[in-house]
Parts: sequence; structure tokens; C-alpha cells
Amino acid sequence: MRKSKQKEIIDYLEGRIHLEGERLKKERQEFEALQKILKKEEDFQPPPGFWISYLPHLRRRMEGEKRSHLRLVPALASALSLLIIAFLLFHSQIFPPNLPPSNLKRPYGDRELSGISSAIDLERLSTSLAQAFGLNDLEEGVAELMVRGVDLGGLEEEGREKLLRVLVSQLGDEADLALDLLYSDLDIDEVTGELSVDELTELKNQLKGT
Amino acid sequence: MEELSDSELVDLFRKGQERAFNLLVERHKEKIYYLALRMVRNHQDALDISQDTFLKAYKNLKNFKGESTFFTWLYRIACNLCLNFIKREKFRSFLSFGDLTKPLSRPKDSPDFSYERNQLSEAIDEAINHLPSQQRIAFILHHYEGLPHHKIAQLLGKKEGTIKANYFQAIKKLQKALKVYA
Repeated sequence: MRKSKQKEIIDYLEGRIHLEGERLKKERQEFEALQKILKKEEDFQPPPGFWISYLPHLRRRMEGEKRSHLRLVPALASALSLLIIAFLLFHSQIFPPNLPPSNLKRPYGDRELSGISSAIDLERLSTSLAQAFGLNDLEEGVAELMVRGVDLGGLEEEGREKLLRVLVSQLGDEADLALDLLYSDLDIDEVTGELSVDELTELKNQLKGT
Repeated sequence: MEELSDSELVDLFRKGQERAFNLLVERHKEKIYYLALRMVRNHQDALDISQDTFLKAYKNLKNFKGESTFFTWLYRIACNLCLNFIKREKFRSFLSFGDLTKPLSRPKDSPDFSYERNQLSEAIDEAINHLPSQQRIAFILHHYEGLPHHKIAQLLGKKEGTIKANYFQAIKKLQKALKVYA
């Protein structure tokens, strides 16, 4: 059924427009039957004493947040030190101090060396930063994806099924990482918001079969 | 201080009076908690989402421009957190190839507290848990929270027609899932 028709039926069921027809009469009966069922639902009640402890619990979390921000200052200093050390180590490997740069013999060609060193450095850097800052899983996931060079923008354009297929196959068991990636960079409305559980199951089975 | 409006309390908080924020929490905690509870159908998750809502508000209140009321702003944060939670849970089940027929929220009501709901209420929980996130929020905000469709559209940044279509699809799925109780 088209969206415009669905909208019209809702307007009819809620009394904003008047329409006639056997099909609509049936829609109304089914709608009213559902309302009756939903009215019988029991109310949710939080556990006893819940509201009394709500604000103190929240305040504790707020204090925790403040403390974690304060911890960032020494972490930043550590990260900076790590960066300086990494730079000095890396620099001394390319330009050994006992040889002037003009006499340097590189073990690899320029292109090869720059490719290897940047990948290793990025990985080291992301690990050092993650340790120094106590990054959460999401940030680590993003850092790791960055290292892997996955082109998220390109994947999104391929469509949701392709996107899922590629992510699942590329990341294998690292489901959480894939999730975090999708979550942080992509609009996953398209993936999950519009699909029912049955449709997702079907898609999942398709993916498992490939 | 209790008799002050939300916007006056926001101003006081910005001037450094922490107690003003406590009052804002006391004033709106139930509404935010029940919204989350209706969305995720699980006390512990609802508690986490409602507290995350206030934490986010606390951190960002200095940037609140006052283009809407404080409560609308807070409610929007809660809606977004609920949507994120549902998507995340559903996608987590999907990627881990877990059993998608089980309720999507974590089965982890605190050990000393769990709901004992009758069979019909549990069936309603399950039917709502199976709705895609956009249909679920369109249904919850209209049916339980009593918001008109155009307000929901405004809140979620969608077209009113889309919200009505989502609501329509939600009630069709609920009718199908709950027809044995009719």
C-alpha cells in the first residue's frame, strides 16, 4: 500500500477525514480491537525506592564524568611524550646518527618504505593513543578502521545489503567493531529502521549463505 | 527556587548554581524514564537511557540556545538515545547472528528486581520489540505519550506523512501479532 494511502487511513481512523467503504469499515474494526487489547496492558512500575535513589545515582555518574575529564590532562601529556619518543625512534632508523643523510642506503625503494612505515606507524600510533587516553571501544574501532583504510563513504553508496556483506566479510568476527563503525559514520536508519525483524533475519540468512 | 520556571533554572545553572540542575532533574525524571521504559520495555535499560539523557543535558546545557523549551530539548535527547539503543541492540543481534526472535533489549533487569507481567502484557512487549525503530517510536509517542503526529514529525525531524505511514505500519504489525487476544 502506498504511503499516501496509509496516511489517509490514519486520518480516517482518527476522525480527521470522512471516508466510506467496506474495506475501511474493516480497518476501523481492527483498529478498535487493537486499542481494546492495548488498554488491558498492565502499567510498568519501577522498583520500590527507585525515585529516591535516582538523583544521588545520577550525581555519582556526573562526578565520575568530571573526574574522567580531569584524568585526560596527564593522559594528554603521556600521549605527547609517546609521540615524541616514536618520532625520535622512527627518525633515527631512517637517518642513523653515524651517517649523514646524503650517504643513507635505504633497504627498500622509496615507495615501498613509505607504504610500510605509514601503516606500522598508524597502527602503533592508534594503539599508543588508545592506551594513553583510555579510549572506549568505539574510538578504538574508528582508529582501527582508519588503519585498515576502509572507505566508508564508498561502502555506503553501494547500498545497504552490499554494505553489510562487505563489512561482515571484511571484519569477520569483529562484529562489535563493524557495529561501532556503522554507528559512528553511517546513517544506519536505512539498515535497521526500515527493516522488520523477519526481514533482517532473511537478510542475515542470505549473508550466511554467501 | 522550586517555583522558578525551567528557563529560569537553566539560567541559574549557567551562572554556576548546580542545585538548579537538580531541580530540573526532579521535575522531569519521571517523564523521561517512562518514555524510555515504553520504548525499550526493560527497567534497567530505561534507567540507563534516562540517566544518559540528563548527563548529556548537563554537559551540553551551556550550549542550549533556547530555540525550544528545555523540556522539548531534553525529550528530543531521550528520543534519540532510545532510537540509538534500539538500533544498536538490533544490529548487535544481527551481526552476532544471535536469535532475532528474542526481545531485543538485554535480559538484564537488576537481579533484585524484575517485572512480573501478565501474558498479554508480555505479548505486547514482544510485539513492540519486534517493530523497526522508526515504526516503534512513531507508535510509542502517539499511542502512549499522546503526541499528535505533526509534533512527532517536528521532534524527530521527519515529514508528518512519514510519521503517519510509520504509525500505520506499526499498528498493522501489532494487529497481526496480537490477533489471538482480540
